[in-house]
Amino acid sequence: MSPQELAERESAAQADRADPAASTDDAERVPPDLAQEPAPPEEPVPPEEPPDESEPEHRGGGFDWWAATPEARGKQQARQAHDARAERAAWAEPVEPVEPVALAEPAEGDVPGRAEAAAVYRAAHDSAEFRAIRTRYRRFVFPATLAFLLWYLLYVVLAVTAPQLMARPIAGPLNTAWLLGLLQFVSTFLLTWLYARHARNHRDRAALGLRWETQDRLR
Amino acid sequence: MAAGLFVLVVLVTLGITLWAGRRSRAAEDFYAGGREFSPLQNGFAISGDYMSAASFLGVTGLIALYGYDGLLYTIGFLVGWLLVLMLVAELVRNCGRYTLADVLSLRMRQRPVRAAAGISSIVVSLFYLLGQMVGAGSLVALLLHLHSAASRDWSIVGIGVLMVVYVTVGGMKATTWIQIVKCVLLLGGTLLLTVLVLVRFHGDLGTLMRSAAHDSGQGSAYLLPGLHFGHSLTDQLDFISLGLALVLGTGGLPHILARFYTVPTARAARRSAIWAIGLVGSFYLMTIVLGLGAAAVIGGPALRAANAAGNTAVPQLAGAMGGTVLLALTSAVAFATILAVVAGLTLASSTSFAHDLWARAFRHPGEPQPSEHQEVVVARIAAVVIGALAIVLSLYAQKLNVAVLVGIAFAVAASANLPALIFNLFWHRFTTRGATWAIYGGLIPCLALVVISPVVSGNAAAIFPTAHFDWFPLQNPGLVSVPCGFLFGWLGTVTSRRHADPDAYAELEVRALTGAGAA
Repeated sequence: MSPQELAERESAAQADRADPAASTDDAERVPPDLAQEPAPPEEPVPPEEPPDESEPEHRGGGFDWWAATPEARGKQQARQAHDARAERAAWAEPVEPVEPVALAEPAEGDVPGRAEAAAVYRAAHDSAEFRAIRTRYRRFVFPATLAFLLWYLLYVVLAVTAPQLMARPIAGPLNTAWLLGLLQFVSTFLLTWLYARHARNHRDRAALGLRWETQDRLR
Repeated sequence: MAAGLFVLVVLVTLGITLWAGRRSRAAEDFYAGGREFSPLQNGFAISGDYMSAASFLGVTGLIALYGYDGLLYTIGFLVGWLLVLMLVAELVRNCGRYTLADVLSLRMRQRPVRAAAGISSIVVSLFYLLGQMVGAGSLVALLLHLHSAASRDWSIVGIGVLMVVYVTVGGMKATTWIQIVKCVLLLGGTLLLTVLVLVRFHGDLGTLMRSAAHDSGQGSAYLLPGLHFGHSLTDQLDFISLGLALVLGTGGLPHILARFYTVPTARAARRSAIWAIGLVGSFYLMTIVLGLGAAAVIGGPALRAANAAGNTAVPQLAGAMGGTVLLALTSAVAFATILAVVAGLTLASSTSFAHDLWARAFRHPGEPQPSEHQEVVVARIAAVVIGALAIVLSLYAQKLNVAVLVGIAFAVAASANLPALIFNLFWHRFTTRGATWAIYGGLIPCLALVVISPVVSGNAAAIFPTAHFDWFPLQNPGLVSVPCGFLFGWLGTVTSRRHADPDAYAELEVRALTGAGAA
């Protein structure tokens, strides 16, 4: 990737539009009557916005990056860059916890070379913050992926190899085969909800903090 | 009336296309819709891209005819989304710009991996496109009561021309809006029919299942596995193969991956995947009710008489529940579904061609890269060429079973795209050679096995019924070719002379998990 491209992505990232808060109005698409089946107890309604404003942002000082309009974001970023510069000038030392490369004064059109960018990413990669994010991510998704794949394959293999088991009646016309099939729906919805909750509570905030930090250094 | 509604669908979608086309200038608009869709919008668009006519009409028909075996399709189509949600959506959004090859070339040598990923993406899209258009031709003819072979051909040509117009004029923005509109229509239509079926059975699902089993003419076997897929060892292996392809293929479908680039952040990508799972899951739950309802209300023999594959189960059910009006509405929904899905596929393959192959892989090392403007021009031309190719191929592939074609597309995606993507994201030793070997090592066995399968020769339903080179017994190659993709990816990596660049992997990991430097 050329430095120009990097700079482009950088500016594109800053122009990012925040997600408008999703309305949950039309979330319920499950026919109500299916509720009698062991249908998904929980439709994976996209989670409500976490109360970002009330909690201390990693470095945003209570600014809600997710919900802000592009203009507000731009302003906030400019303000922070300004603050950071002022602080650096005043204290003559970096404010970031990890010091990867010499921090040049961020000027218009000042793009770091490939090697410097690599050093920035390397430093971010080695930071304790990043390791924590990665561990949390992997500790959830690897076992979860393995579990749902095995559960699905078990179901598929049972469907062809265990006709007696599948034919066993459970309640009325419902037999094991249908029960297992509907449980696949339930487990999919449940795992989706668990993953969304895990990511929201354990990763998002830290990842966002590290993102701005890394991008500041790439500047 | 159905014809009038079809015209209305065409006019509305063309209107959207013109509206969006006038607002698209940059490459980012054409490929990624300006990256300004909300998770809700993108969730609907993803569902729109994913819930094809094959699902709406085909799977419902399979449930109506074969009961339990139809349910297996819906589960495979849904469960695959967990893989997309947890391993693919956010990371791909953070690492790439427009295509799968972008993610690979972040840490690999650009030209070989772009060539490989570009080719495999186009092959997947073409198979999928073929399945959709073959189905579309017969469906439109059926829905409009045109029974000659010529009218079916003209339906395919008409749909092909429309999809090319959507893509070349409107790009990703138009395609996304068409998907959203289509998804709302489809879910609305399905919900209405579901409610009508449930009302007819007084909300008693037990009665519904019992009368479906009784009226299907199959009795208790209707509620058990094996009616559709059979009981021989080959049938069982074929079924497991299809199951594997469906669950692993979703994460490698280029038109689904491209959808995650239309939102601004990885978090938005995750939320759109969550929306998609909710919508797709609800949709498939409703198709189960519709399938059972069709069996119970219409009855197996009447369904089979109208269409041996059960593709008309939904229109027939609509006609029985709500007369001509509902029948026309359902047909229009099915038509919108077909148009939207083929447009998404054409866009994904033309993006792969222009962005990966033409602008990057087919360049000499010293040659300057073309401008984004030139790239988009080439993408539009590619859309025309791919559209024409798809039309011609579909005219010759009309004999093939739609579900089989879609199953093969999923198998190619699962064997060629997914191993490379997963290794690239999670294995620090993975090298350029590993990536190209994974892609070609999955793609080539997969295609070769299809050629020597019963789909191509050896039986009355094959392309060459009289020739006999059907040495591979399974219709779906996934059971063999997916492990091949992973195996060759590993083999290519361990035999590489060059080691993987740890800095490049560090950058990929940081970007993937934090979104730093994301487009």
